[in-house]
Amino acid sequence: MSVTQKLDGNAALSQWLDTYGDDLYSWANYKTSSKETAEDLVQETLLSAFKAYDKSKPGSNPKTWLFTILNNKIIDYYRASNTSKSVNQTELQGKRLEDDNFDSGGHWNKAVNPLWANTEQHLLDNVEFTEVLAACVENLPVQWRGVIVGKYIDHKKGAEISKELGITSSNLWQMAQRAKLQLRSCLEKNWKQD
Amino acid sequence: MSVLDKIFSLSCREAAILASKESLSGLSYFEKVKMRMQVKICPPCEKYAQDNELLDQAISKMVDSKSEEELKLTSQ
Repeated sequence: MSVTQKLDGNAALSQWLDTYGDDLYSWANYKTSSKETAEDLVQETLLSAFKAYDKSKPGSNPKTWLFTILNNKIIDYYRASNTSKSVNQTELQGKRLEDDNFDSGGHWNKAVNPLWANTEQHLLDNVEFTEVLAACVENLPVQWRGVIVGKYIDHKKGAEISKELGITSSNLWQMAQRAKLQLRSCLEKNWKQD
Repeated sequence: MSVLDKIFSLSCREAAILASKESLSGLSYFEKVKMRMQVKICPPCEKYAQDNELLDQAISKMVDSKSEEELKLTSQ
Protein backbone atom coordinates (compact mmCIF):
# COMPACT_ATOMS: atom_id res chain seq x y z
CA MET A 1 0.00 0.00 0.00
CA SER A 2 1.49 3.36 -1.04
CA VAL A 3 1.50 6.43 1.24
CA THR A 4 -1.34 8.01 -0.76
CA GLN A 5 -3.37 4.81 -0.66
CA LYS A 6 -2.72 4.52 3.08
CA LEU A 7 -4.02 8.05 3.63
CA ASP A 8 -7.05 7.28 1.45
CA GLY A 9 -7.58 4.09 3.43
CA ASN A 10 -7.33 5.91 6.76
CA ALA A 11 -9.86 8.51 5.69
CA ALA A 12 -12.20 5.83 4.38
CA LEU A 13 -11.89 3.79 7.56
CA SER A 14 -12.76 6.78 9.69
CA GLN A 15 -15.75 7.59 7.49
CA TRP A 16 -17.01 4.00 7.50
CA LEU A 17 -16.79 3.86 11.27
CA ASP A 18 -18.85 7.05 11.59
CA THR A 19 -21.38 6.13 8.95
CA TYR A 20 -21.82 2.38 9.31
CA GLY A 21 -20.29 1.52 12.69
CA ASP A 22 -23.59 1.41 14.57
CA ASP A 23 -25.36 -0.65 11.90
CA LEU A 24 -22.45 -3.09 11.67
CA TYR A 25 -22.40 -3.45 15.45
CA SER A 26 -26.20 -3.94 15.70
CA TRP A 27 -26.10 -6.61 13.02
CA ALA A 28 -23.18 -8.46 14.62
CA ASN A 29 -24.77 -8.24 18.06
CA TYR A 30 -28.07 -9.48 16.66
CA LYS A 31 -26.45 -12.50 15.02
CA THR A 32 -24.08 -13.45 17.85
CA SER A 33 -26.06 -12.30 20.92
CA SER A 34 -22.78 -11.12 22.42
CA LYS A 35 -21.71 -7.48 22.73
CA GLU A 36 -18.03 -8.34 23.15
CA THR A 37 -18.04 -10.66 20.14
CA ALA A 38 -19.89 -8.05 18.09
CA GLU A 39 -17.29 -5.39 18.96
CA ASP A 40 -14.45 -7.76 18.01
CA LEU A 41 -16.11 -8.74 14.73
CA VAL A 42 -16.75 -5.14 13.70
CA GLN A 43 -13.15 -4.27 14.52
CA GLU A 44 -11.91 -7.23 12.45
CA THR A 45 -14.25 -6.25 9.61
CA LEU A 46 -12.92 -2.70 9.46
CA LEU A 47 -9.36 -3.97 9.66
CA SER A 48 -9.94 -6.42 6.80
CA ALA A 49 -11.62 -3.68 4.78
CA PHE A 50 -8.68 -1.37 5.40
CA LYS A 51 -6.16 -4.04 4.34
CA ALA A 52 -8.15 -4.84 1.21
CA TYR A 53 -8.78 -1.20 0.35
CA ASP A 54 -6.05 -0.85 -2.30
CA LYS A 55 -6.90 -4.18 -3.95
CA SER A 56 -10.65 -4.02 -4.04
CA LYS A 57 -12.06 -0.57 -3.47
CA PRO A 58 -15.69 -0.81 -2.42
CA GLY A 59 -16.98 1.46 -5.19
CA SER A 60 -20.21 3.32 -4.74
CA ASN A 61 -21.68 0.98 -2.15
CA PRO A 62 -19.29 0.48 0.75
CA LYS A 63 -22.14 -0.59 3.04
CA THR A 64 -22.85 -3.74 1.05
CA TRP A 65 -19.11 -4.46 0.84
CA LEU A 66 -18.64 -4.02 4.61
CA PHE A 67 -21.65 -6.17 5.44
CA THR A 68 -20.36 -8.92 3.14
CA ILE A 69 -17.05 -8.90 5.03
CA LEU A 70 -18.87 -8.83 8.38
CA ASN A 71 -21.16 -11.73 7.43
CA ASN A 72 -18.12 -13.79 6.48
CA LYS A 73 -16.52 -12.95 9.84
CA ILE A 74 -19.71 -14.08 11.61
CA ILE A 75 -19.65 -17.39 9.71
CA ASP A 76 -15.96 -17.80 10.70
CA TYR A 77 -16.92 -17.13 14.33
CA TYR A 78 -19.56 -19.89 14.36
CA ARG A 79 -17.32 -22.28 12.42
CA ALA A 80 -14.51 -21.71 14.94
CA SER A 81 -16.96 -22.48 17.76
CA ASN A 82 -17.31 -25.99 16.31
CA THR A 83 -13.60 -26.67 16.58
CA SER A 84 -12.95 -25.07 19.95
CA LYS A 85 -12.66 -26.66 23.38
CA SER A 86 -16.20 -25.60 24.24
CA VAL A 87 -17.47 -28.29 21.86
CA ASN A 88 -16.86 -30.99 24.48
CA GLN A 89 -18.82 -29.04 27.06
CA THR A 90 -21.69 -28.48 24.63
CA GLU A 91 -21.62 -32.16 23.64
CA LEU A 92 -21.97 -33.09 27.30
CA GLN A 93 -24.82 -30.63 27.70
CA GLY A 94 -26.51 -32.15 24.64
CA LYS A 95 -26.16 -35.69 25.94
CA ARG A 96 -27.55 -34.68 29.33
CA LEU A 97 -30.49 -33.02 27.61
CA GLU A 98 -31.21 -36.17 25.60
CA ASP A 99 -30.89 -38.35 28.70
CA ASP A 100 -33.41 -36.10 30.45
CA ASN A 101 -35.87 -36.54 27.61
CA PHE A 102 -35.31 -40.09 26.31
CA ASP A 103 -34.83 -43.47 27.98
CA SER A 104 -32.12 -45.93 26.94
CA GLY A 105 -34.40 -47.33 24.19
CA GLY A 106 -34.79 -43.87 22.70
CA HIS A 107 -38.40 -43.41 23.86
CA TRP A 108 -39.70 -40.25 25.54
CA ASN A 109 -39.24 -40.82 29.22
CA LYS A 110 -41.65 -38.15 30.31
CA ALA A 111 -44.89 -36.76 29.05
CA VAL A 112 -44.47 -34.29 26.22
CA ASN A 113 -46.43 -31.35 27.51
CA PRO A 114 -47.67 -29.29 24.63
CA LEU A 115 -46.31 -25.75 24.69
CA TRP A 116 -49.33 -24.64 22.74
CA ALA A 117 -52.80 -25.70 23.82
CA ASN A 118 -55.14 -24.55 21.06
CA THR A 119 -53.81 -21.02 21.33
CA GLU A 120 -51.20 -21.15 18.60
CA GLN A 121 -51.97 -17.95 16.72
CA HIS A 122 -52.65 -16.03 19.93
CA LEU A 123 -49.32 -17.21 21.29
CA LEU A 124 -47.40 -16.24 18.16
CA ASP A 125 -48.69 -12.68 18.65
CA ASN A 126 -47.87 -12.62 22.36
CA VAL A 127 -45.10 -10.07 23.00
CA GLU A 128 -44.13 -11.53 26.39
CA PHE A 129 -43.78 -14.98 24.90
CA THR A 130 -41.60 -13.60 22.10
CA GLU A 131 -39.34 -11.88 24.67
CA VAL A 132 -38.92 -15.11 26.65
CA LEU A 133 -38.22 -17.03 23.46
CA ALA A 134 -35.59 -14.45 22.42
CA ALA A 135 -33.88 -14.78 25.81
CA CYS A 136 -33.93 -18.58 25.48
CA VAL A 137 -32.33 -18.37 22.01
CA GLU A 138 -29.65 -15.99 23.33
CA ASN A 139 -28.79 -18.48 26.06
CA LEU A 140 -28.26 -21.41 23.70
CA PRO A 141 -24.68 -22.69 23.42
CA VAL A 142 -22.90 -20.83 20.64
CA GLN A 143 -22.69 -23.90 18.37
CA TRP A 144 -26.45 -24.47 18.49
CA ARG A 145 -27.16 -20.75 18.09
CA GLY A 146 -25.12 -20.84 14.87
CA VAL A 147 -27.65 -23.29 13.43
CA ILE A 148 -30.57 -21.06 14.46
CA VAL A 149 -28.89 -18.00 12.91
CA GLY A 150 -28.20 -19.87 9.65
CA LYS A 151 -31.74 -21.12 9.30
CA TYR A 152 -33.94 -18.34 10.66
CA ILE A 153 -31.92 -15.15 10.14
CA ASP A 154 -29.94 -16.02 7.02
CA HIS A 155 -32.69 -18.30 5.63
CA LYS A 156 -30.14 -20.84 4.41
CA LYS A 157 -30.69 -24.49 3.54
CA GLY A 158 -29.26 -27.24 5.70
CA ALA A 159 -26.49 -28.18 3.25
CA GLU A 160 -25.21 -24.61 3.11
CA ILE A 161 -25.30 -24.19 6.90
CA SER A 162 -23.39 -27.41 7.53
CA LYS A 163 -20.79 -26.45 4.90
CA GLU A 164 -20.28 -23.01 6.47
CA LEU A 165 -20.07 -24.38 9.99
CA GLY A 166 -17.71 -27.16 8.94
CA ILE A 167 -19.94 -29.94 10.29
CA THR A 168 -21.66 -32.96 8.77
CA SER A 169 -25.37 -32.92 7.91
CA SER A 170 -26.04 -35.48 10.67
CA ASN A 171 -24.31 -33.22 13.19
CA LEU A 172 -26.39 -30.31 11.98
CA TRP A 173 -29.68 -32.15 12.46
CA GLN A 174 -28.63 -33.36 15.89
CA MET A 175 -27.57 -29.85 16.94
CA ALA A 176 -30.88 -28.45 15.69
CA GLN A 177 -32.77 -31.13 17.61
CA ARG A 178 -30.84 -30.38 20.80
CA ALA A 179 -31.41 -26.66 20.33
CA LYS A 180 -35.15 -27.31 20.07
CA LEU A 181 -35.14 -29.53 23.18
CA GLN A 182 -33.27 -26.82 25.06
CA LEU A 183 -35.69 -24.13 23.86
CA ARG A 184 -38.68 -26.25 24.93
CA SER A 185 -37.15 -26.77 28.34
CA CYS A 186 -36.32 -23.06 28.69
CA LEU A 187 -39.86 -22.06 27.64
CA GLU A 188 -41.42 -24.55 30.05
CA LYS A 189 -39.38 -23.04 32.91
CA ASN A 190 -39.65 -19.38 32.05
CA TRP A 191 -42.91 -18.79 30.31
CA LYS A 192 -46.19 -19.16 32.15
CA GLN A 193 -49.45 -19.17 30.26
CA ASP A 194 -52.26 -17.16 31.87
CA MET B 1 -42.06 -57.47 15.39
CA SER B 2 -42.55 -58.08 11.66
CA VAL B 3 -39.89 -57.38 9.07
CA LEU B 4 -41.93 -54.39 7.87
CA ASP B 5 -42.19 -53.04 11.40
CA LYS B 6 -38.43 -53.37 11.75
CA ILE B 7 -37.85 -51.49 8.50
CA PHE B 8 -40.29 -48.72 9.29
CA SER B 9 -39.90 -48.40 13.04
CA LEU B 10 -38.19 -45.40 14.56
CA SER B 11 -37.36 -44.55 18.13
CA CYS B 12 -38.76 -41.30 19.52
CA ARG B 13 -35.23 -39.88 19.58
CA GLU B 14 -34.74 -40.72 15.89
CA ALA B 15 -38.13 -39.21 15.10
CA ALA B 16 -37.13 -35.99 16.90
CA ILE B 17 -33.95 -35.78 14.82
CA LEU B 18 -35.93 -36.43 11.63
CA ALA B 19 -38.27 -33.58 12.61
CA SER B 20 -35.24 -31.28 12.70
CA LYS B 21 -33.96 -32.69 9.44
CA GLU B 22 -37.36 -32.04 7.86
CA SER B 23 -37.19 -28.42 8.90
CA LEU B 24 -33.62 -27.91 7.64
CA SER B 25 -33.14 -30.17 4.65
CA GLY B 26 -36.43 -31.92 3.91
CA LEU B 27 -37.08 -35.66 4.10
CA SER B 28 -36.88 -38.44 1.54
CA TYR B 29 -40.10 -40.26 0.65
CA PHE B 30 -39.06 -43.23 2.80
CA GLU B 31 -38.30 -40.98 5.77
CA LYS B 32 -41.65 -39.23 5.38
CA VAL B 33 -43.44 -42.60 5.48
CA LYS B 34 -41.49 -43.61 8.59
CA MET B 35 -42.34 -40.33 10.30
CA ARG B 36 -46.01 -40.61 9.39
CA MET B 37 -46.17 -44.12 10.85
CA GLN B 38 -44.27 -43.08 13.97
CA VAL B 39 -46.58 -40.18 14.82
CA LYS B 40 -49.59 -42.47 14.33
CA ILE B 41 -48.39 -44.97 16.90
CA CYS B 42 -46.68 -42.55 19.30
CA PRO B 43 -48.84 -39.69 20.69
CA PRO B 44 -45.87 -37.91 22.37
CA CYS B 45 -44.03 -37.95 19.01
CA GLU B 46 -47.09 -36.43 17.36
CA LYS B 47 -47.25 -33.68 19.99
CA TYR B 48 -43.53 -33.04 19.66
CA ALA B 49 -43.75 -32.81 15.85
CA GLN B 50 -46.65 -30.36 16.07
CA ASP B 51 -44.86 -28.26 18.68
CA ASN B 52 -41.73 -28.35 16.56
CA GLU B 53 -43.54 -26.78 13.62
CA LEU B 54 -45.00 -24.09 15.85
CA LEU B 55 -41.62 -23.43 17.43
CA ASP B 56 -40.27 -22.91 13.89
CA GLN B 57 -43.01 -20.37 13.24
CA ALA B 58 -42.44 -18.65 16.59
CA ILE B 59 -38.70 -18.30 16.01
CA SER B 60 -39.29 -16.95 12.49
CA LYS B 61 -41.78 -14.43 13.83
CA MET B 62 -39.45 -13.43 16.67
CA VAL B 63 -36.56 -12.93 14.22
CA ASP B 64 -38.77 -10.81 11.94
CA SER B 65 -40.00 -8.60 14.76
CA LYS B 66 -36.51 -8.20 16.19
CA SER B 67 -35.20 -7.23 12.76
CA GLU B 68 -37.88 -4.58 12.35
CA GLU B 69 -37.55 -3.11 15.83
CA GLU B 70 -33.84 -3.13 16.45
CA LEU B 71 -31.92 -3.22 13.23
CA LYS B 72 -33.58 -1.04 10.64
CA LEU B 73 -31.00 -2.15 8.12
CA THR B 74 -32.39 -1.32 4.76
CA SER B 75 -30.08 -3.22 2.46
CA GLN B 76 -29.30 -6.37 4.43
